[in-house]
Amino acid sequence: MRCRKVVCQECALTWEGVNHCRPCLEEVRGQARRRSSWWAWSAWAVVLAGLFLVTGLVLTWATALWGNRW
Amino acid sequence: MSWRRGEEPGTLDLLDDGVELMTRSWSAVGVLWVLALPARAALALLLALAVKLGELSELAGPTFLPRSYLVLVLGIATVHGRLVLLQAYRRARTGPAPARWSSLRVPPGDLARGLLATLVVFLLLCVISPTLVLPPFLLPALGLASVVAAGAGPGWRHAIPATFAGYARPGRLAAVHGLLLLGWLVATLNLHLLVTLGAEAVVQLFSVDPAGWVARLSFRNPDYVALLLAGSSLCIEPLWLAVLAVHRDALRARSSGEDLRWWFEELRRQERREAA
Repeated sequence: MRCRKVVCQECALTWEGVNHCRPCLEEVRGQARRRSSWWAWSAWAVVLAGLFLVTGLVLTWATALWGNRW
Repeated sequence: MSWRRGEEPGTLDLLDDGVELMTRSWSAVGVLWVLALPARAALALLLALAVKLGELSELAGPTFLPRSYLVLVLGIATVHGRLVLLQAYRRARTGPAPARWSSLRVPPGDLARGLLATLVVFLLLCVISPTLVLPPFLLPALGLASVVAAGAGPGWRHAIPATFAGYARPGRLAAVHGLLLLGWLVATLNLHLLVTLGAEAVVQLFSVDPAGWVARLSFRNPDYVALLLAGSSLCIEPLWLAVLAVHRDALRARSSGEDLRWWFEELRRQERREAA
């Protein structure tokens, strides 16, 4: 799918519901392994924590505004 | 659940396939209901409190803040429940059912993607909520955030673009949401009737004062209305997710050649039938 090469059905390898040729699948798997590092997870945790704090504040603001308008 | 080469499922096909998926995964539907109930009830009671406070709600920030965070913390369980259900839908189509408890396990990467995309969409929803007109446009994204979590690619950064890629067929998406909205209304009325009948039975059996029940179960009580809407939204949620999963698969099939594979399978099935 990624390289847009035509691959016959017998040769196509399905991963997460998407057909890939062998080199593309190896690349995808390689990326999956590389990205599951400690740094990637830490960055995700920091981003998510920040987003969580902001969303809580915005939800409070939106609720107050919504109640006021009702 | 197979479409011919070049064919796309219509609105009713999506609903039909969604119902079929849901009826094959009842245990996962139960898991979603159990996990999503606390967050839904907390959100309903928060909004009901805002309605009750009315103009005073602008001064009630300190009251709303801990409740808002409670909604978000409980929401993590909702996302987990949705991913369990979507995993069950995928397995209902492709593979054998897993052992009892392992069906509750969700890959950490999927959960990370699902949480991130859901938080982003929910944040946008809160920001545009004062407009009252725009929020319905983001409702599909709230479900798609979980639907695409498993297939958004190896990196969690792909989750948000994949969520909004689900809008590729806006007409079909709008039509199916219109029908689901009608279903939500019917579910709300049915749930109200069920609760009223239950209350009537309690009054008859235990000789309770009916006046209190009538006041509590009236549409003038914001707590009751909010909880009723939350309950009926939970009833319709598994179907909503199933429809979105079918919609996403139909879109992805066009780009991946998956529809060609289904078509071959259909041809082989026909051949086998004719040979038999």
